[in-house]
Amino acid sequence: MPWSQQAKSYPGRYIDSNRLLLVIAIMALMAYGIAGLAIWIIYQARLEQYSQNLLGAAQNKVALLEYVTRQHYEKEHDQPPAPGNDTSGLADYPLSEPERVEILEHFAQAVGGSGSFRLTGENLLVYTVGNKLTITSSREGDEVNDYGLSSTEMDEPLRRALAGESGTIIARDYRGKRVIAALVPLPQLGAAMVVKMDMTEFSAPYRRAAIITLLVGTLLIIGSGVFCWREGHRIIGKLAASESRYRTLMDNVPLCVFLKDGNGHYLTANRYFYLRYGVDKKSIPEMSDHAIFPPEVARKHINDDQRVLEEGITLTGYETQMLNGEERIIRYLKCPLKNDEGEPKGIVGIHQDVTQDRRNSEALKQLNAELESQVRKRTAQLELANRELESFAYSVSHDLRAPLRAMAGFSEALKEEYENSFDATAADYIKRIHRATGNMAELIDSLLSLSRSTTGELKVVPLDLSRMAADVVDDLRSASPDHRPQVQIAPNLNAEGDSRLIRNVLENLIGNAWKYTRLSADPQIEIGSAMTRPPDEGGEETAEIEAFFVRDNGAGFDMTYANKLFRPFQRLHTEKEFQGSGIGLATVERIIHRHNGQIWAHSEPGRGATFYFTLDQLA
Amino acid sequence: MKAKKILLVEDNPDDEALTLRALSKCGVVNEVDVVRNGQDAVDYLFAREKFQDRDAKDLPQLVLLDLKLPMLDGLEVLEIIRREELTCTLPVVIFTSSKEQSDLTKGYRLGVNSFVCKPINFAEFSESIRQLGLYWLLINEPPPKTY
Repeated sequence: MPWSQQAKSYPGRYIDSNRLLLVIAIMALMAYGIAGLAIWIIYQARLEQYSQNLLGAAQNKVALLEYVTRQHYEKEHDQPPAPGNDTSGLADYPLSEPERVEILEHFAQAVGGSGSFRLTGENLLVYTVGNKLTITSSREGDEVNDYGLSSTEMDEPLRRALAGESGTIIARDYRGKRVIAALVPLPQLGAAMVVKMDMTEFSAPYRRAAIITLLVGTLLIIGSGVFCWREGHRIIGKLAASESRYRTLMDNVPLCVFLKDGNGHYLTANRYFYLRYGVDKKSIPEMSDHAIFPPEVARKHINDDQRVLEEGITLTGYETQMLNGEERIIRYLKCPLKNDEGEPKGIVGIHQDVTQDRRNSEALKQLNAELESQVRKRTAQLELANRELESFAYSVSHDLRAPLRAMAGFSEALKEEYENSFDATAADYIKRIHRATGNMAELIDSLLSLSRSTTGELKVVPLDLSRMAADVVDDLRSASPDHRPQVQIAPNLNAEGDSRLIRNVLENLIGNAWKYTRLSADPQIEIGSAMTRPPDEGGEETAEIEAFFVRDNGAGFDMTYANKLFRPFQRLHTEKEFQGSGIGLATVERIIHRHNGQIWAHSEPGRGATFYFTLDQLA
Repeated sequence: MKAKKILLVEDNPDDEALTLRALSKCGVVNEVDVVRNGQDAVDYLFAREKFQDRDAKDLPQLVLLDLKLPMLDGLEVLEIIRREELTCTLPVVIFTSSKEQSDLTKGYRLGVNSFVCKPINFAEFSESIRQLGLYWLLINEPPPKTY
């Protein structure tokens, strides 16, 4: 099964929609019940009050009738009632039948004209005349009916009032409608007073209230249901996204990740875990370490789990596992999974196979060691070669000079002591030997200088090239007093480099300028710095850089041979024109290159030469 | 008072001949004893081995010392001279073909009185010898005797 699909269905476990619906229904019913109860209590209270009111109204009317009766009696009989008797009753007023009927008919007229109250309120007076029953209603349009005495035809309130019942009842009236009726009997007059009103009118407000409550409640329930449903949907969506993120992360991390409960049983793990340990995804819940690992490894895991759970700490370390018969090194991490109260209730574990890393780092270590020993070996070889070279140079400087000195010395001695016996040829030969020794001495010095320029350590210090150039010029002046070129040195030519080697550079360059201006009419030498463009190598356009220069207006050279300028033993002038070993510029170039600088020259035959050099980028 | 000796330590016979010639040419009358390796130079100064008949207290006025010598080289000889009580004040001039920086440094570290490079040109060579003789034998005041 694809992992993503499984992730989607997951949050369904958290929410039971039936239970949710039940809860909503119960809560709605309870709300309705409370509202209904409240309405019912009010209804009952109002009914009680209303009953009293109706009864009060009926009694008032009866009291009035009694009063009228008493007045009539006193007027007709001119006889006051027997003193000390109850004033409310009519027992003391014995009336004749015609008198009774007359009073009642009069009163009935008054009742009939009294009109109705509220919408359905009605006052009724009922009395018997002989066999006839007379009912007078206050309702407009209703006529006074004469009924037979059959009690079955009478409606319930009248019947019960005539029967002598007093109080308030709820019953059906002559129209068949439920009414609330107050009954007051008048047995002395053979009559009864009934004040009644339709229950429909009385209960209308409460019915309305109940209906409104029901409607509003239903709306509220539907609204909150919709809200809950949407909110639930949103939460489920979020949960699903979170679950999907969690699963995707779990299954794509190239590590074994697992979760365990507080008893050390596996809850779930990721794909790498299943693949590595050959465990089925479905069977992992409730599995223990013993089912997956060999006994001793499982025991260690269980011990570790207990420590993590008891102490709430994170454990890390390395362990060895056998996998497919191969020993693997596993880096593990176990940390407590805490509940809301912060107590460890489970374990999150990670296994990382670091076997390859270990091997790599060991191989790297070995490689480094080998490389280091190689470097040491090579360095030793190089040092040996350097020492050999130095001792060679030493021998050259010492041993080659000695025979040369002998040749020079003895040819001189020969000349001094036997000059008189020499002819011109012999004297010339001696002179040639003498000159040759001088040239060779210079050659040896140059060779030594060349060799020194490439070996030995660079001691880089700040240099004042202006002063150094002035020193060199002073030396040249005192060495050849007959040659007097005009020398111009720019001030503040500062650089960094090895003082001995850079002096050698200046000695060579200024020495050359000195030498090649020997035949100029107005010899001039200029030493300074300028922004200039070094010659492009490989056709690349080069930027302008600041370079030092030594310029002369001497013999110059043909730029065709510029590439030979810095090669050892290459000369662009004959020995006869200008003396030289052909090593000076080679030495200069090597020194400049050792200072990571550049050197180049511009010249035209007969118009002087300019040598530029830089010392900027020191390694 | 008889002029004191000069000790020339030189293994090259040509240089020896040239030096002696130059010394005599410029009128140095001091007797010159010549030894041809470093070990002999030490033995000479301390009157040992084949120089045991010599009076050790009769030190030369000046030692002209070449650097490249068989057995003990010049710098080792200089080290011994400066280490020993008897000879530690003896004027020593290194007279050599080498202009090596390291030789110069080591020589002066060890307390050489002067370091002169042998010029190849004989005229210059003679001039050097003449000035050396003039300075060290006539102008320079020798150290007082310590014995």
